Amino acid sequence: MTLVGVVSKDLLGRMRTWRPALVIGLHLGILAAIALGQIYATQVSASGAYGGAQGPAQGPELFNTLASFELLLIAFLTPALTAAAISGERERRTFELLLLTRLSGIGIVAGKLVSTVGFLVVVIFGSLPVFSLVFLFGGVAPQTLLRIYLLYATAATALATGGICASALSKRTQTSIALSYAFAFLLVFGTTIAATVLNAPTRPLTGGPPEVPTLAWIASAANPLDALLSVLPNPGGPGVAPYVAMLPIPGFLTGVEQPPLAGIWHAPLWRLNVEIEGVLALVFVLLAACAVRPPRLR
Amino acid sequence: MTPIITTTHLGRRYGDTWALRDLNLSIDEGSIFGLLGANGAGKTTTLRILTTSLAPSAGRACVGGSDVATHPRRVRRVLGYMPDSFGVYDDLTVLEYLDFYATAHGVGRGGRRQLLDDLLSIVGLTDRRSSFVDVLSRGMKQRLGIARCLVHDPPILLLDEPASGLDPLARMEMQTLLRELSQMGKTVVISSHILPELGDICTHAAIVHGGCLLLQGSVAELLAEPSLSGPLQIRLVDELSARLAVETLRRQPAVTGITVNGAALDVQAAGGPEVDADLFVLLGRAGCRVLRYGRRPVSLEDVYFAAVRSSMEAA
Repeated sequence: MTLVGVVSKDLLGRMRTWRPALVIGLHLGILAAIALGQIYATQVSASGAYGGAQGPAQGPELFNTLASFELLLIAFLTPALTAAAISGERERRTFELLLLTRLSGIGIVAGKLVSTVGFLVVVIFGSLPVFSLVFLFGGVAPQTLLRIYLLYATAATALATGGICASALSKRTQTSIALSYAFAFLLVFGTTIAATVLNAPTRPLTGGPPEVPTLAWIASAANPLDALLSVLPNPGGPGVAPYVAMLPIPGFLTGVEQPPLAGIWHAPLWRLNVEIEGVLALVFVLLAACAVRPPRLR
Repeated sequence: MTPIITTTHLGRRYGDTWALRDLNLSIDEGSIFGLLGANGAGKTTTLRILTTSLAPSAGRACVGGSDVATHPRRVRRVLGYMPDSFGVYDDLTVLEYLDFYATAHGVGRGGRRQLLDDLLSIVGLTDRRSSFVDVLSRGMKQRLGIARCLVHDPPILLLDEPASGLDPLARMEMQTLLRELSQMGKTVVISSHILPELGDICTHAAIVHGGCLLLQGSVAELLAEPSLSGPLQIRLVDELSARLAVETLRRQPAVTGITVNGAALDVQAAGGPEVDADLFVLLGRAGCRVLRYGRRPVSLEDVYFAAVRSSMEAA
């Protein structure tokens, strides 16, 4: 019951200002601009000399673009929403009063997490009207849509717990913001870079299937963007995904080169990502709860 | 009366500095207890130890029969604490603010609304229930803070400088509120350096200075200390009379100091009523035209200064 108090207090405070409307509006605006831009570009290229992707590939391509940008927007937005969760209470001088209530450290952290993820759910589901454009063109299975929403939820939770943990460990919100964004950058880009670096030496120079080192696979599995790319439809056929090929990431991220790994690592990348980020979130929640728990004097 | 808060040789050290040393307090149930001292005397440190926010470095403290170090949860349940400066959630209304703390203290949904209405009525904020907290005046925020302390109906209230920064009217309202709370059976502990206002409302007091306890007892006992007396206040008809009175009084060995303010004199004179009567006769013989003559009653301020002076002399 005490948890509900934190959630409702945070949501009330958050939703009362003009900021949520601005965040949701901006988020929708950016996605809509990207979608309309891509549709327009496809139309222009289809009518030009080079031919275009107008036809069965247009739906999946639009979906892939929107899905990737949506994840980047979540990665950008979540640290901003969570960085002041605990440090803000300290700066407002309400933290000591909070600790003198019956709320436990885990209750405070869980309350903050639920209210942040709740708001993110509103933001993410707010993008459904833009995503529905894809269904005008077809080519995307509902299962894929469910998977990417699961990946969004997992990524948002991992990033939110990381932000709350940074907030619990920092005395000042500025420090917390810097730490939260550093973690988001590490999760979204750092792990991809790590996967690429770890993968490079064992990539055979000529012929033969690529040998993927376990560490490279794990680094990729921790990366929400890699996991997302692995479930996105591949409109150009196996191994062909232009926007993926442009990135300096291992070939197996196109979803067609499954590394020959055994045990728990022999699983689809998206599922590993959900598991790894789930564990990460749990660790962050426990760390944050330890940092905010009421003082035990002896 | 039975003590509801006790501290035994309580101490707290910050680095090499002892902020609190060997504090032995005993606070009776149902009393309004004033913890007096200058800034840095150790008042807030004492209160923070009692609220379980700070661990003692030495000694022990019991609140409501529970040791703050071994049973902090139990202690938190029996007390409400209002810090010297505390923040509020500006984006919540008064009612939502109290409702949040009631929920956080585990107050059940049934009857919560009635409880909050009662609390708002006690602190006089019923007509402000839908106002946002950030538009409240400082006095109102302080009263809201007291309402917050009361949401879980604790028997003990610890208030750190509750009247600090309040205008005279708000201070008076605060005093009335604290008396009402005492009548409701609450034990109220107030820490303050504004001594006159504590003298008006406290039943018991303790004086701390430099982290040490100097005096403790009921206010009546402290004010009845025989060695203490207020200054002799003399009001003369004009300044000429006042000058004459000063010349006359300066020659008297019992007079240790005179403060002149126009036609009013504050005279420090050792001795009892007999000395006062002798000085009055002398003024009459010298031709001074006296309008008012009498001792100012001893205040907690006098007690405090006397205690601090003797402590410094002893040191």
